[in-house]
Amino acid sequence: MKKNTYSEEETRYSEIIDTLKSLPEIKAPDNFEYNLMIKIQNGQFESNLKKNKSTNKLWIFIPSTAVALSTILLFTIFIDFSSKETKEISLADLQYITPRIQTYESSKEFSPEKSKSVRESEKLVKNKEVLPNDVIETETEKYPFNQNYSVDVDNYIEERRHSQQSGSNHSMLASGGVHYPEFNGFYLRQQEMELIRLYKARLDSIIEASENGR
Amino acid sequence: MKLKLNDLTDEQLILEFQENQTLEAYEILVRRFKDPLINYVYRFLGDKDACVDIVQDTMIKLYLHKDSYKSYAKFSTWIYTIAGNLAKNELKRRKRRTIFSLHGGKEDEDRPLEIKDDMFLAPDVATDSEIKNEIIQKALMKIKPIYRELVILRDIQELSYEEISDMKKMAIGTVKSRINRGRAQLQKLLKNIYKE
Repeated sequence: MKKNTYSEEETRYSEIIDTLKSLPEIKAPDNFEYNLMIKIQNGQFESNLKKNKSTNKLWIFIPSTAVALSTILLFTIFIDFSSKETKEISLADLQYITPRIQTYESSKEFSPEKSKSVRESEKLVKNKEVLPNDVIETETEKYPFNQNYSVDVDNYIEERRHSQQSGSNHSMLASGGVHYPEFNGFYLRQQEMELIRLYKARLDSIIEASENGR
Repeated sequence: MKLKLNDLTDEQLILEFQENQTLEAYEILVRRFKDPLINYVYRFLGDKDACVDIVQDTMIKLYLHKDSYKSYAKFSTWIYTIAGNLAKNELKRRKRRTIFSLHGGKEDEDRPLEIKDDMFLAPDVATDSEIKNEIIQKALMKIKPIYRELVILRDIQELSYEEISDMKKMAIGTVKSRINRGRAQLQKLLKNIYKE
């Protein structure tokens, strides 16, 4: 039954089947066998076929290896970048922390006990009469300031006036002490300036009070 | 000895080549199958130069992998399978290379082939039958490769449905229906030829 239906279908396409059957047969060139035998005798085909096989196999792995390599690359770059970032932060922290520690240490020196002794010594100096033959010794460790950051206020004011006229560097004027402090950045400098202003104001008030007392 | 070998069937010849490494048996097989294979590959690819190379590669594979042939299968189906696979690989490679296809698009596939007038203006160059053959080949190239392959094997190479189903590892019903679909597509494309 099935055979009949298919034979019917074949008759339906009989035209096309006849056309296809009438097509001329393509024949191999005369040197086909000769070329084939030369290829076989030379044995070049073996390596070529093997090469093709190996390259085909590798071709399968190319996308996966590319993906794996790119992820590894991205991962390493990300790690490297994050470690650099942490390093940068730590360096910045160090720069920020060290002066903070130093200022903290200097502020620690300003203890009430020490300030008491300073006041007593000041009183002694005031009460004492200075004779022409007396040798005056300057006490450097008397005030609770770090010497590196101490400023001669009068010099500073004078220098400031001078700077206003000449327009020289302000940071240089701020370092009016005996020892030039190390440059610790603008953050510290500003703090120092404020401290100087504070102490200057105190000194001015003392001077004014003493003058009024007279 | 030569006469004796010539009288042997394809299966006997490959057995002779497998067991006794008889090169003559191999040569006889090459002689027997070179033309049908070239015709098959040419009709499938539509390229004469490429089809010769592919059939040579098929024969080299036969020489190298003769032991992979098992006696329970028909030799013709085995060698046709090798050639068909190589031809399909070539077709895939070409498709990958071609970015824009001149024959691309479904609408274009269904449209019947136009017989250009200029084809008939040079009778000294090509005869009527040659032009017709060219048009048929073009139409063959327009149908889907899965149908084309089966139509060629059945209607040009004249293999039996059983042989094709063995070769393609398909049910006979599937083979027949696919061949008929291919034939129908061809008929649609070659409308103009039958009108004349």
